[in-house]
This record gives sequence, structure tokens and C-alpha cells, in this order.
Amino acid sequence: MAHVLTFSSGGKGTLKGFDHTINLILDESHERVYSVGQGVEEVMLGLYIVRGDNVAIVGEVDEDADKQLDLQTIRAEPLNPVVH
Amino acid sequence: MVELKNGETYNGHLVSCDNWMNINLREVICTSRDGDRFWRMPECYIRGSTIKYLRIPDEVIDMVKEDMIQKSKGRGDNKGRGGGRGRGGPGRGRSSNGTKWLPVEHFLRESPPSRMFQVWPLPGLNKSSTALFKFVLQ
Repeated sequence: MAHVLTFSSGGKGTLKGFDHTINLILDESHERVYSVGQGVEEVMLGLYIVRGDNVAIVGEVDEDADKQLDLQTIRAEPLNPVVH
Repeated sequence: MVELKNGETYNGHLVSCDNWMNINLREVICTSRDGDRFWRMPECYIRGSTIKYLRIPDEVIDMVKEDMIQKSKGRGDNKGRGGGRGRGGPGRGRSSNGTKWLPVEHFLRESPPSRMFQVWPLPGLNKSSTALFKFVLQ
């Protein structure tokens, strides 16, 4: 089972299916909310179909590297708005 | 639940959809972008290209799996899936109900990463994810 990270705004889940327009079916998906003032907050979302238009990057998660992340200490500036 | 690119969300029961992800909903509650205005409507039709994502009950993914198993039993052609290159055009002549979705495990097992883009034309991968809804609707 491949866990994938998708960057539309930053989410992660188990990839269950996809098609040629990069529509994705993500199971057990969650969103990571980065902020300047506090650590990363994870929001559980469940089963999602993400329309391909909104997908910027999809990649397989390196589980080991991911486990070593200390989400509480990570700070990040907000991303700039998406420009089409 | 459907969220549009403009941030509005539509909660309702899925009635139908097509290959462009245009969808029909019944008993809809529309929520404004900021989340403090609501509209109730008996039905609505959403153009697929305006959709950001759909949020679906978790059980649905299991229903799809069951459905695929039942379908392949019915046809008795579970083998040869994915080996369809060269047997005519991809997915041609297949009814919309007969759409095959390949589980992603299949893709990862069968294809080394460098061949990733050759996978797209295989049968089953060239249909939009509205196929998932079609399973749900049956």
C-alpha cells in the first residue's frame, strides 16, 4: 500500500486509485496545517476524491523519514496563493 | 460533500454523474465560502470542472471493492487484466458500467517507476474517477 503526499495545499493519504487527469482517490487522508505560531496540526479527512486540476505534486511518502519528523517543532510561513 | 474551487460546499445525495464529473445532487445544503450562510435546495447540478474535491463516506471504498469482485466473477475474466495492450483500443466497446479501475497496488507492482507514463493508456486507467460513483449508484 502506497502512502502518497499530494500538494494542492498539503495533504497525505493512501492512494486507492487515479486516472489520466490525475484525479486521485485518497483513503484515510489527512491534511497537515503548517503555521508560524505553533507546530503542525493534522486534520483527519477520510475518503476523498481530489479533482486533478487542483493537484500540483503527488509523491510516495518515505515512511521512515516521515516518522522521524517532529511535527510539533516544525514552523512554516503560509504559502502564497495559487496562481494559474 | 462536494467542495468547489471557489470554496463553496454542497452537501447532498448523489443522484447521477458523467465522465466529466458533472454531478446531480438531491436534498442539498449549500454553504458559503466563509461558512456562515446556508441555502437549502431540493436539487442541483454541478459542473465537473468547478469541483475541487469530493468527500465521500468511508464505507464506499469497500463497496467498490465488493462490486469489482462481483463483476469479474460475473464475466469470468479476472485474468488478463492490465495485459490488455495490443488487444484493440484501450477500453473501447466497454459499457460505462463495465469500467475497470485498477487498484494502485497493481500499478506499483507491475510497473517500475521509469515506465510510469506508459501505464496510462491501459484499460481502466483512462476513465475518470466518476466511475467510482457509478459503482456507488448501482
